[in-house]
Order: sequence, then C-alpha cells, then structure tokens
Amino acid sequence: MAISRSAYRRYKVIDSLLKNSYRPYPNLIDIQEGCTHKLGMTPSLDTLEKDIRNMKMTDVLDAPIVYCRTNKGYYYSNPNYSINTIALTDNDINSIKETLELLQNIGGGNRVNERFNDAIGKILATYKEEFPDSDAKRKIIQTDYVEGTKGFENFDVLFKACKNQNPVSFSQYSYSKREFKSLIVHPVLLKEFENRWYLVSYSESHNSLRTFGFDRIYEPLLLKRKYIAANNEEVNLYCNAIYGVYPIKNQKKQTICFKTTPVITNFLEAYKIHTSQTGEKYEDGSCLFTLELVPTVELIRLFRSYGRGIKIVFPNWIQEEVNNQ
Amino acid sequence: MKQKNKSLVFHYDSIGHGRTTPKLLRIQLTPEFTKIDFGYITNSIYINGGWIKMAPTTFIENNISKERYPLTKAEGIPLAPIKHNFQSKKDWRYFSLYFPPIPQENCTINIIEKINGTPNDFNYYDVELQLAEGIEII
Repeated sequence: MAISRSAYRRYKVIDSLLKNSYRPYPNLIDIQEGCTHKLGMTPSLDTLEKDIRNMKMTDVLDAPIVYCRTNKGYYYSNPNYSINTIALTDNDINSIKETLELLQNIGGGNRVNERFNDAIGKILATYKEEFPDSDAKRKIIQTDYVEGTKGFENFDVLFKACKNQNPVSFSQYSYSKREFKSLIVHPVLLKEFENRWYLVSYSESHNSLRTFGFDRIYEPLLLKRKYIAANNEEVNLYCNAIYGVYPIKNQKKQTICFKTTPVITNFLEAYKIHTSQTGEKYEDGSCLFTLELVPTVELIRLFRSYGRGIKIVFPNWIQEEVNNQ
Repeated sequence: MKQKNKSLVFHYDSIGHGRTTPKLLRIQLTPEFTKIDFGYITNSIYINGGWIKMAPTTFIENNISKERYPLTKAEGIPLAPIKHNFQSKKDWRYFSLYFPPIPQENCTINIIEKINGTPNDFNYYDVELQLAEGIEII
C-alpha cells in the first residue's frame, strides 16, 4: 500500500508523540494539536484514527500501536519501535541478501562501491542479520570483469563529477601519441564498453566532446568552476548513435550496409550491434544488415573480427578500411 | 582577485618533455602542501628506457625572495639512490612531488633537483604562478 506524502507527514507526528516519554499516552486530541503545531494544518479526528489504523497494517509500517484504556491514550507496545527505523520483512531481507550476492558475483565489491556494501551492511546489522559472504566465493555468474583494472579507483570521483556537473582537472597520457597532458573537462557521462570504462566529457582544450579511458586518467580533481554543458544534439550523437567509444574523425552519422553469412547472421540477430540495426534476410540464410550510426574505431574492429563472414556493401570507405588490415 | 588559502590548481603543458626531462603538468597550492605533477616518457637513447629517480634534496624556491621549500614526499618515483628501472623504450611514468605550502601570491618559482645541474637533472626555471590562473579545487 502506497503512503501519500501528507499521510507520511502525519505518521511522523504521531510517531514523535508516541515516542515522547515526557507526555506518554497521547489521545486523538493531543495528536490533532501536535499536527496543528508541527504541520500547520489540523486534520480531522477521523483522519487521525484512520492514520493509526493504517500505520498498524503489516504492509504499511507494521507499527505496534495499542490503545491503553487506563491512560486513555495510545502507545507503542514495543518501546524500541519507531517509523524512523526501516521496517524490513523477512522477504525484504532475503531480497537484499540476494541482490548483494548478485552484485558480488558480477564483481560488486569493487565495481559498484564499497560504501554501498557498508551501507547495506549497517541496515542488515540493525536486524542482527549477517552480511552475506558465505557463497560469495562460489561464483554463479561469470563476467569479463578482471579485478585490479587501472584507473577504476577514480570511478567515485568521476561519477560524482558527472552527477553534480563539476568540471574536472586531470592529467592524461595518450597511448598513441606517447604524450602527457593536463586537461580541464566538463563530464557528461561514464560509459562501459567491452569491460573498459570511459569518461565522456566536453574538453576545454579540444573544444569538443571527447572520450577518455579511465586507465589513462591520473588524479582527477573536482573544480569550482562554471560547468560548460555540451550541445544536446552533439551529446546524443556522440553517446547514442554509436557503437563503441571512439568516433572516426570527420565522419557523421551515416547508413552502413553489410552482408553476412548465415552463421554470422544468427549471431547478429541474437546480439544486435546497435538499436538502429535492421536486416533483410535471404532464402539461403544470409542477411543484408543496415546500421544508422557514427562510425567508430570499434565498429571497424568488429567488422574485421568477423573476417569473411561479413562483406561491407557501403560506404566504400568503410569497405576499404575493413580490408586494409 | 582570488581569496587566499584555498586549494588551487595550475595547469602547464609546455614545460619539459625535452629528450630526457619529465613534462610539468600541474601545480597544486593548498594550505597543507604544494604538489607538483609530472609525466615522464622513456627515451629510445637508453637501454630498455633507462631509469628515473629523484634527489631527496630537491626543492622549490621563490625566484625573487630565494626562499626554499624542501621536498617532503614523492609519489610514483623513488628517492635516490633507489631507481625505478623501466622495462621498455615505450614506457611512461606519472609522478608527484610534495613540498611545504608556499604563500598564495603571484610569483615565479624554480624547481631544482640539482643546483647547476645538467640537462639530465629535473630542473625547471621561471615557472609562473599567477593566482588569477589558478582554479579552485572543491
């Protein structure tokens, strides 16, 4: 049962009155006065009676509210109860444990955030539940993730920078140019591709959107500086109309058409290269696929990886690029 | 005019990257320390890229007042006599040197590994610190 915002505000008042040991056993009139004082509005006695009934419901707050006939007021039969503590059912706890195990199976300990594990650990500790680790070593799900990835220690800072739109200063090493640079960028998003993490951001020195591999970013610092928002259309093209991370210079979004052998057709039908992918299948099982995207280094690499299983129909320049291995 | 005693970062992209000298990348001025970041790429003139080390007597000095601030910590580079030996002619190294905090005022500093050193020593002269160019760190 969903709780409305106004009802929850009244529940908080009722809870605080029931927890007040200086004025125990508040009655409906006391609660009404409490609401007037704390919320600036006076709910009817019927509403408050209904609120108490709802608070007692198992699927709402499961509050142990009892009416004391002797003292003519309400109280919590469990004095440790408060709606400020989280009411978790056994099912909730099991779900949390299962989710944690799932996260650990996909490398959650390092990949997500250890603070998250700590936070969940605290929640479970209040329920005297053990933090699940018994099965953590027996992996049920295997991913490509390899621990100790360089640069991943900066995930938190870069995530925060994207979330809060903080410009970032960092030093960067270019593998291809063999050159160090210090850069100021305005982060847009973090992207994972083929198990590698990248920061997509507007770079001041490049005056355009750029992708930086985590492994080449050194010591990012959040800056107190005006955030430059990149052009929405450019961000959309750069982040969505793309397979991979590094667009090929001076190439715009375009139609790419290629023919596949029956075996490769099966794979590409099962695992689309991109959401824009469409295909026209032939009787022999081969297929003419079409993509609408900005060509990338990774797309060319993917085409090459299929060898003779793929033949680029157009554009010609991609055909030549794929053949020029 | 920037308020003093904040944490500021200055970017440099033109100093260094000589045949054997690291590139000066950033200088951080904080109330607690002065930190200088460098990037070094190995050179093909050395076998397996050679080695690097930093003299523990390295200091920065104010060009005008000549006040010196000794090296307090090095990260990513060992202090002499210990060397970091590279494995190839295509290796690289990012490292940082820490010094005591210097006054946050417009000045020019020298970073000196060896007084009257050779081009192989990591000496940088006349490094400008104009507060207006510093960017505040959160």
